[in-house]
Amino acid sequence: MSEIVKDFIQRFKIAPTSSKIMLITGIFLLLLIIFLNIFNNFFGYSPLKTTGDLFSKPSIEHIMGTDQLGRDIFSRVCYGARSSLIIAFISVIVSLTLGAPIGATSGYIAGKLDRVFSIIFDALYAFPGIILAILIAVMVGPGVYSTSIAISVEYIPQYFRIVRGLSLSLKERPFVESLRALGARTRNLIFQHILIYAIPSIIALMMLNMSSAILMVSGLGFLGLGLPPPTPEWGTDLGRGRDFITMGVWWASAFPGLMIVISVVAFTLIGEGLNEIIRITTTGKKL
Amino acid sequence: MAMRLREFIFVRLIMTIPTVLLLATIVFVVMRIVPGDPVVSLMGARAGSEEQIEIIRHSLGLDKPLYIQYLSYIGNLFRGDFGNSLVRKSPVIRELFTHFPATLELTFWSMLVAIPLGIYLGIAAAKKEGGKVDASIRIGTLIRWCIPVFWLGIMLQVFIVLYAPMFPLSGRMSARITFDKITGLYVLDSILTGNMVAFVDSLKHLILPVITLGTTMAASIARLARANIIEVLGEEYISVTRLKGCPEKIVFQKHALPNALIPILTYAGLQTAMLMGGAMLTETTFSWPGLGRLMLFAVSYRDFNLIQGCVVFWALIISFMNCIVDILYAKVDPRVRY
Repeated sequence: MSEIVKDFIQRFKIAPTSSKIMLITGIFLLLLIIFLNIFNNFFGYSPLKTTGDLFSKPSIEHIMGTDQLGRDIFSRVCYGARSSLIIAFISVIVSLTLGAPIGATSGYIAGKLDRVFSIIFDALYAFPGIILAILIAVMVGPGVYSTSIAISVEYIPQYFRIVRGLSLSLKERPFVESLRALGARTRNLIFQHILIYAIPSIIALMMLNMSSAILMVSGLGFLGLGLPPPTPEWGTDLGRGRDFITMGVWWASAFPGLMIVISVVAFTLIGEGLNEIIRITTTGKKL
Repeated sequence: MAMRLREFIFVRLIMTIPTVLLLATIVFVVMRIVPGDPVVSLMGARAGSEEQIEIIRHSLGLDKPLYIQYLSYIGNLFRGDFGNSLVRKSPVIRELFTHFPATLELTFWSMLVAIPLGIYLGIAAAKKEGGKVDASIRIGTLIRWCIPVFWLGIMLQVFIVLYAPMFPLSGRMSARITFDKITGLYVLDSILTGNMVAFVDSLKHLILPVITLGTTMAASIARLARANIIEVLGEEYISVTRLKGCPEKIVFQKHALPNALIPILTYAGLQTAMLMGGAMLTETTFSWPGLGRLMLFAVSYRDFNLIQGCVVFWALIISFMNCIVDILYAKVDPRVRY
């Protein structure tokens, strides 16, 4: 494990400036969102309580204005990070724990089993994620877990593919062959030696999936299929704020959307930066 | 050759059957395993007696064993019969065909903007790799890619409300305009009937959704095009061409570009197919009466015949587009044989 960290640090040192900037900016934006969420209470307003002041424009008092129920939008937007990030995180973890081990096993064992799994996951890959998510969200009803699972289905095949490919190429490498010759059990080989190698690529993919999962969560919220009110959630708030744009109330939909963009950009930057750094060999060339 | 092509198309069409069947099965299973009785939710507030529910259940064939339901569902699909919409009472196939033109029109105009714009940006960035132009195009497309379509759409609407109130916010055509529908594609129809007022009005309604959807697609196409061109430029055959003294312009245009753009064709084809299944978020934002909204309507009323119809229709479109992309691929890339 520590070898992987050391290897990464070595790669990071020789990485081009653009990938370093991407990674660092991404991490900075993410920390900013988490900071705003944690220290939300110190800004003086509650995300759920009304201030009695409906549709007030952004001002020094309410820097993002108030919504149709007079709630402070800044406070809601800061708090809303929690639900989006948690749902996105659960869904990514669920698809990782299902996709990666199956992919590693399938690639290592190969043969018929591998072909069957590949066909199943290819079919799942072709199924439009949002349709599946909407079906599950409507049928199971709104909630953190049902939404997470609805979203996670889309990403399972991605982990399957990436880990399967790695496993296929790794199993021919001398260190795996020698371990096998020494009598290592297949299960240990897969989980302790092959999956470890996949960790950097898995983390990069997780970050990219986090960004698309946040988009999906907010999309479901926008369609009214997300978390039930009054829980602050960016997509839901945006969708409600939309009803008032003809009155010129732009702030109720603008700021939740801005937070979605910032968090999606943050994860995309981290994911892409990591991807570029991983692809560099230690001699400084791209693989 | 002509015979081979026909055979190829035939085989490709046969191969679409398992895909469509698989999707049809998945949606059937999903509709059956989810909690919630469709009949009860269909009756809604008028919660009927046990007997009434049984009568409706019988009339819909829901009292039969699952495998009989499944077999008759698949059998009907092959005859092109999707059944009737439970809520709207009309045949599902008619609902699909009244909503499809709206989606088709939106997809057509969006891709018309997205493909040239995306490829242009991708080329411009790749030509100056590492330069300022490249950096700004990369940052711009990355941020555009991260902006959800509904937020961009709403912000455009806000702009219209505040600064150009005469401009339409949503829908396909202003209610006051009367015109004859032929194909259901409003722009085409108004040209065919020579109705200038309707033509201008339908174009005005298209602008916001097309900007919203088109730039999303353009951003992803540009990112892919840039990466592909840079990759191809690094290949050995390009270096060889350069060493032979071929001018840089010809190296780029004749040797690198065609190879780099072939994968874009596949990607754009698949994206077009995805959009033709209905861009739910964009259609919702602009109250665009297409397949995406039909699907949402079906899901929210648990109209399972309509849901199944939408999904199978979508699968058919995807398979059909895949087939077209494969044929085009073989046409543009001489290495690919049928």
